Amino acid sequence: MYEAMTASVTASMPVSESAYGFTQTDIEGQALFSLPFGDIVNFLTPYTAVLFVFALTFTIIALISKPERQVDTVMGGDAYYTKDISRETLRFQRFMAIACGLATMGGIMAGDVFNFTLFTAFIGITNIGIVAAVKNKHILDNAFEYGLLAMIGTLPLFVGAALVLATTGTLSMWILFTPEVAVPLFAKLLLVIGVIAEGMAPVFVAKAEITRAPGAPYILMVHVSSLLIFLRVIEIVISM
Amino acid sequence: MMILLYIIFAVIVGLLFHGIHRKVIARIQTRPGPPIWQEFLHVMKFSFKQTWIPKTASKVLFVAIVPAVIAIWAGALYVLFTGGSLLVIFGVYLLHKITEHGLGLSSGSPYGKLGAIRSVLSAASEIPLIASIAGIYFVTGSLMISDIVAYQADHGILLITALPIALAMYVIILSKVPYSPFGIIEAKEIVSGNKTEHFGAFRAGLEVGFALKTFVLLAVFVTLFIGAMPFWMLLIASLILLLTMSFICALTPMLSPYDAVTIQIGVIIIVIIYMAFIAFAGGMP
Amino acid sequence: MIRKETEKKISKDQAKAAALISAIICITASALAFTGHINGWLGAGIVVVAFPVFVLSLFTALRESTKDGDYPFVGY
Repeated sequence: MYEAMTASVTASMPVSESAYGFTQTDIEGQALFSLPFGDIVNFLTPYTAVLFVFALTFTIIALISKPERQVDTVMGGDAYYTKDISRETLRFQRFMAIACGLATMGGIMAGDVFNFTLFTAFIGITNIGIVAAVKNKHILDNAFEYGLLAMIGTLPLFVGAALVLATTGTLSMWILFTPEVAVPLFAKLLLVIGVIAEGMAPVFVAKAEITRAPGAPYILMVHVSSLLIFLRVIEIVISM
Repeated sequence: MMILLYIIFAVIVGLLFHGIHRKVIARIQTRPGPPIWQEFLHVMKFSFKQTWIPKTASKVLFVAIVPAVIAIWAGALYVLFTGGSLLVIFGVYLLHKITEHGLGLSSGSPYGKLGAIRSVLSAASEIPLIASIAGIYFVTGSLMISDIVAYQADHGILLITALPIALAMYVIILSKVPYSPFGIIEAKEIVSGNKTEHFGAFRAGLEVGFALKTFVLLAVFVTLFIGAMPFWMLLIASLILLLTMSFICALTPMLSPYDAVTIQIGVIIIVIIYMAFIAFAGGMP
Repeated sequence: MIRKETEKKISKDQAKAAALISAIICITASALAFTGHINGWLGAGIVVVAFPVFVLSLFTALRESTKDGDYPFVGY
């Protein structure tokens, strides 16, 4: 199967035969596992394996953990109250958190730039879902603004993938990571900008309204997914 | 190698480093200070305390986040000593940010939540800072720690040839040592920040994880920017690095969150100018 | 959603057993990796998972008493 994949790719790509041994191991170590689908090879290196295990752990935590009941102080007094989550909200948020975890694992496993951008867009959508489930004006405002940002971010993300395809003729990371293929810096930049816009945590948490939402473990999945996908795009950009 | 012995040794040395750090800060501030084994006493004290999970907490997450902190840094220690990929350690640093965040969110306490939000706020500047290790890749052509060590044996130490990147890493480690001016996530105006509700056995576990973290970060800096050395010299170099940080921690107040982020962004700008200089000047400096 | 107030608690004996088992796993895995019976990264992976369990269950076994949970600290 692997030989067949190599043959079919070499037929279409002007790259030397030796490039398919995944010889460039000076960035993240030797690949541990690979699963070829045609010229798309899904693979795990020690680096992505660590990220994958972490994403899996937090997805399982989101699956089995009950949500926290956030304690808030009443302004101007010394009373406080706890926020309970209704069963419907809990079910929807839990579904979205698990979908978010699955999308993160997909993005980490992806061996193809387009699959990666697609999973990143999924993460953006599920993040909106997690936040928008809470029926509170401030949080819904925040979810709307985040939705706008994610929509805008999708453009550079997919344009980046399209530029990679247009300039190199392939989207398979297995080929793009070899030194023979050069990817323009602009395409890499667009990919990073797209991921920053889709991933909520680093830029958008400055609007801390989402923390009015009862947080763990669902709001946490927003940050888990966006930081992990950021780690993955750094790896892709350096390796390409 | 006996990975378990290395981990236990690193925990002991990390706790001792924390104790020395506190002692040096105290002496600079003309206080007697605690004995240097104070952090061992802390861990023992916390482990004998009454322990429960708050009623408002997300229970599984509240407990699971503590072993997660220890596990990621134990993994980073293994990667460091086997000369693995620097990218994994960069990854572990970001996973640590997630655990800090989960630590604060899981309890339901407003103080923990504020600490968690500050953790993500500071991620906006700490992620680009640590992404500057990509600059090491442009200088050395590799991100495997063993290759970087070999490069320094041939071309001189990176602390001199790639000073701005070393500066960025220094600020990163400085923002992670206790009592740091950048330690906004556990500032005293929010009680203990994200650690507020983790007491008793959980806090003892966290102290173990943070000791591992301090040891690994210091050893990574020494290995990356000064190079390979015998193990006892690694310990001494880490200690000297920590002492420089103790001076900074003793002499500066805790910054406000926005000031901390602004200063870190200033360092990022220096690194970006440096990397642009490398890119346009062509090749290594 | 109202939660049931009766939560399962880990007894000291269970925590001691968990600490003992995870300690044995840690020592066995690192010893096997040292002698070369299993791969180094596999041994490290097992230790990395089992060591935090050991630390936490040891500290849980040492703790003073078991008591019901309380509400978080919300100020003086």
